[in-house]
Amino acid sequence: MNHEVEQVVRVKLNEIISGIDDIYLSTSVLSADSNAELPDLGIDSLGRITLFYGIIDYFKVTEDETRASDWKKLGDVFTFMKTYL
Amino acid sequence: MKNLVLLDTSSQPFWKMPESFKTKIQEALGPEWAIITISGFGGDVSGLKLADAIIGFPFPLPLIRENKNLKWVHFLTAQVPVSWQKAPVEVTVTNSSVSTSAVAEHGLYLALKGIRRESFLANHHEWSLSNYGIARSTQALKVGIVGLGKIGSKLCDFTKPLFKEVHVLTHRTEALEGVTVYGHADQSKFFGEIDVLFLCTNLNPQSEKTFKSGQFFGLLKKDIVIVNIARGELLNEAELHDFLAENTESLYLTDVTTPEPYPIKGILNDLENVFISPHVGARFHGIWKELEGEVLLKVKTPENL
Repeated sequence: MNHEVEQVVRVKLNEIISGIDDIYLSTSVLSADSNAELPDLGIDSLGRITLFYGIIDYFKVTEDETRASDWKKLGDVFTFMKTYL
Repeated sequence: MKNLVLLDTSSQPFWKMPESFKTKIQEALGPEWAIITISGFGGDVSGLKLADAIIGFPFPLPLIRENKNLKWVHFLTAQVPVSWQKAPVEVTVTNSSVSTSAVAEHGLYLALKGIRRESFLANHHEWSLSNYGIARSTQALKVGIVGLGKIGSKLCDFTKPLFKEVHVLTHRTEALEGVTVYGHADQSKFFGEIDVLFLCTNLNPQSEKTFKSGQFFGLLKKDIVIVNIARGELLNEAELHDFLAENTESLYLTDVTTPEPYPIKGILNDLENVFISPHVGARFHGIWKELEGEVLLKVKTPENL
């Protein structure tokens, strides 16, 4: 993903997460390594689903929550979001 | 036919619902209800969209957004998750008194572990004096308890006979025998006095203000023992890490982290003055029987059937 696109995604993701009550990150997504594993950032399996819904609501799209089961690293979330930019 | 979903989603064997629990619920509900059990979030969760009622462990609120039938949700936890506090259905939780004593006991155990200066990284299969530092005497120490709910009150009872003084920080105003009560206007004085600090309060706007204003750690004694049996999110982890790294005589013992399980690469694992137990405070023999009793009261309430 090119740097500029990734920066846009990071900013949008940060905005989404700031509106979610149950997610507390150990590192801001603005600066976290895209290879960071989601649990290491503070996103457990339920947090992943919560984040998924936050993203699809933000982009006003419909997706099945099983898409989130593939997310292991922060970069996987970026890749998912990029399709809706 | 109505549907009750049992969210049996814990990955821990102890917290899987016993068959007797499910059987008793079915008997109480009667034949007009079908029970759908969901065992995990990696599989089929479509039952959540059909449920008239849900009992189990917390889950993301959006999973019920398409459900027009849902009347009530009962979580087997002591607190309603923050995101559920504005849910469009009735949400109740298991009365926290079910696990109050057990959690308070675990808090006391953690505190004593710290006060006895156990070396958290030692191999305790070796008979070695270096497994322990020099213990402090509880009779010389002042305890501070943040939060005077059921667990905080139980800790008052446990600590009064053991420690020099017990102080409580609470929004409540009633006097308590044998305990010095502080309101939040005096919290700086409270924190400055304390040798052993128990965190027993909910995550709420006041606790955010108290612990995350950036001033909290500057108020503490440099050799304080902090015991967290409330929520991992109460404290800013980076600030906590920096305080503990700079003040190596201080200790942090916690039964709660964010996330859980706490990752091996978590920054608190860098420190020797941190002890993390894996959220076991409420895990005791007989708890499922007590949870069953609470749930059956809920299920048998006529307006819930």
